Amino acid sequence: MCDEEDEEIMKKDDFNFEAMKEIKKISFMLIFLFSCQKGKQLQTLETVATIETVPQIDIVINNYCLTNQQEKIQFIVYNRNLKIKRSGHVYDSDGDGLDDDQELKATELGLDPLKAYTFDNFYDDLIIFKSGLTASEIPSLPVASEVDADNDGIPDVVENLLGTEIVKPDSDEDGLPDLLELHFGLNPIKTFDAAADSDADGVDNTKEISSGMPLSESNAKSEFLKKYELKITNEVVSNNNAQTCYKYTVKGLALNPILDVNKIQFFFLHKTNSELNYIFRTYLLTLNSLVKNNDPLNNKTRYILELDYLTEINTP
Amino acid sequence: MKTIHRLFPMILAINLNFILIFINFSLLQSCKGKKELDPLQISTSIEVAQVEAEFCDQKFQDIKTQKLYINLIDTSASAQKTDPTYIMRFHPIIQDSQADHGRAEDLYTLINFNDDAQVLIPWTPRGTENTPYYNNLVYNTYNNPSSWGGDQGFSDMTKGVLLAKSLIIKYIEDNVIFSGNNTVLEITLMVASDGRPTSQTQGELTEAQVLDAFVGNAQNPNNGLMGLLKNSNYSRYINKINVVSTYFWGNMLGGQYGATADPTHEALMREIALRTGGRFLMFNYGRPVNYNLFGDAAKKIKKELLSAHLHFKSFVWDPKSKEPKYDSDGDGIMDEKERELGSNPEVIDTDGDGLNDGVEYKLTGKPCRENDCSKSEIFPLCISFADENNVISDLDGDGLNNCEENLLATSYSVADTNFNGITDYEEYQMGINPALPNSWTMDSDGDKKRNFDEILQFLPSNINNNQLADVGIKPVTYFMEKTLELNDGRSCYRLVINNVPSRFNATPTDLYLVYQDFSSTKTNYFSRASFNVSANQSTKIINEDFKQIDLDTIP
Repeated sequence: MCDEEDEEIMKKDDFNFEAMKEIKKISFMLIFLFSCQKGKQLQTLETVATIETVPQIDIVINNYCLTNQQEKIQFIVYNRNLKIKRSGHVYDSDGDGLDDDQELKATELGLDPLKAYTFDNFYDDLIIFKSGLTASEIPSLPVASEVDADNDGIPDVVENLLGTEIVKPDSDEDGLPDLLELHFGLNPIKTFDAAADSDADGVDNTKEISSGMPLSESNAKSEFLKKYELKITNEVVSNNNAQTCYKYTVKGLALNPILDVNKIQFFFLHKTNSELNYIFRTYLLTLNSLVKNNDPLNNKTRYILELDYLTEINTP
Repeated sequence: MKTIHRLFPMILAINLNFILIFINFSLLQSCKGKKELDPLQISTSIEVAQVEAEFCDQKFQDIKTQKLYINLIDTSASAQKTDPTYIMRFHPIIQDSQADHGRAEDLYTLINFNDDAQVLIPWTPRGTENTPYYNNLVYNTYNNPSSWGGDQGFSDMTKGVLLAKSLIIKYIEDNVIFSGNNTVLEITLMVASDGRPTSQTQGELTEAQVLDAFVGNAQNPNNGLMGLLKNSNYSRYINKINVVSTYFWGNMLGGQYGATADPTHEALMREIALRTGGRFLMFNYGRPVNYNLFGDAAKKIKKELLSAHLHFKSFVWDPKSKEPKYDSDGDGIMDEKERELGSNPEVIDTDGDGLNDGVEYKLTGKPCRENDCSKSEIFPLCISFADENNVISDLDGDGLNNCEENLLATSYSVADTNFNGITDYEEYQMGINPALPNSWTMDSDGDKKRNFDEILQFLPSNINNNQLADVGIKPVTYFMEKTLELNDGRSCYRLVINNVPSRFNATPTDLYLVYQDFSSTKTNYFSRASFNVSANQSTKIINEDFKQIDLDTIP
């Protein structure tokens, strides 16, 4: 009912971004009109083959250099405008961590799926939705500002509300920064959930996040999930007495074709002596600027984006 | 002479040992005689079963946030009419008393500290209608120093902080633990001071003395007000403790109390805010405090599924033979050991003394107190936990009663003391210490599988998987998918679990759903479905089979 009209077109591997946008806009409005209020029946195992596909991109990050006192700990990349579930892709047009579908369903709050801050008050829609506040309670929230002592993407006053630490980007020190935990439905002040395996499929939650897989659904028995599983490799490019430089390659990051610009979130964590250093950056990827490259190995064309860590990622 | 002195206790000990062995032996005999053994049950034969579950996230629960405001005020010299600014020092609290928070359920208390501390105004509700009442109380109290003993010229704020801590504990014990309505406290403690803390006996207090009252110290981190958050008996009821340290300096006339602030005292008050994660405010001339900075709105708590796992409570791994053995009653001792020790392998507490056979065995070396396993009185260490009907309750509903939890050093009010998503009872039954903040990501037996994954898959975490006896054990597999997404953000799931260990016939097994919430508490919430699995059969579990455990279930 909700999402079937455009299936045929979606199956094509060669994407026309503009055409996709139009189609999805229509289907988006349909969703809004019918709004699927009764809950959406998800596709089960048997129908997996018909799930639509979206374009994917390979990202190469050059010049990630660490001194010999620094040790790399974690690297995560995800697209804030799209998530992958067993039943297919879900879009998050405003990249606030709350799917469009969920925003539309939360009718009482009147959330805008195209606006991360529906209420213009430094509390993003995800926080509002998860706090369980009703629309009438929102004006009573403490007045917030953009002041963010730890630069973790969550303003201090909002951190107060969440109970997270104002001066620690990773309040529970589980290796996943607070904002990332919020985006993936984990608790930023609980240490255990990063190492737990919510769907007991043998892949712990941190690994699920770094490979773009769902946290509370098994990865097994799904060609669809296999196709969109992120493959991340790194290689040492140069190495001398002072520093080691790495090149990261991310293969197969899914893109939201409806939007002109996708918000790609990067997270680098490294350790200097015993101190952890968090680099948490958003890169705005313009779809129309992408150029297809031939991938003779797989006999198809792929989008490839090369980024420089020093100039394009590690700058706020 | 010396030799005999040394030998005497040894001889006594040997004799005692003989007596004990004799008692044990007769105990063994007497119990064995009672139980007809079924030879089929002695050998462990492991079959496999399937479990299929369909369930939805729990409905959201209104967790009530009860706000407690504690105002600590130094009254030294302040009530003397010779000090024209005396009322100014209390300006923050008076401002606050005039502000309308509009939440009738919020409670305020006013504590005065001088050489000692007194509660001047006990918990008083603050709603729109009560505002003038509270306001008057504050004014009247400070305008009538004789009502609180007047000024003594000292300002020992540590007394006030510790009095506040005891008030909080009393409030939790009297109003929160047994209320059963899921209340969490948000506490705001404001300390209003106007100079260095001094006491009659110790003179000026050191920074360490003052900080100890707020945050404890390296040796005693549970000391002090913030120690409440580390005390598992209380921490689950406390969402947050906001500390606001304030320093009033100067006055309208200028100079009498210093035209500039005292840097030593300012540093102390700043340190208090820093160490408690609170706020420091310095003011003169009664600059108002914005209490909005310290408050939260009430929250409806959305619980999100953290994990789903089976507890194979009818089995334990035997480290000697490296194979699983039956534990029919789930008391953590395998049946064959219970038979050897003389307790009933099918009754969790054979002698009915309030301690399950496993805990009693670990404590005393015997699962039954008396020479035979007939009913006995409540175990001595448990008497204080028993009610008038000699029943020991299980406050957190995890399957270990309050006395057992006390002896195992786990919290009787938190089902999952070490917050690892597995209840205290499960860990205990599997032979893991539930009180340890264990590293679940570690691989204790060095077989390249994390302890956490092994527990989920019915593999032992303390025996290398390569050394297991070949009894046809396959790791348990879970397959989970979302089937439905509801409008309020909840989801429904289908879960298929294969290779579930089973006897040939009915084998008690539990399925746990673990939820975490989005509030600033670390607590895990558990739902449990208890059922039997049987060899080569599939057992279907539905939403209604799950019961919430933990305090929610208290009638």
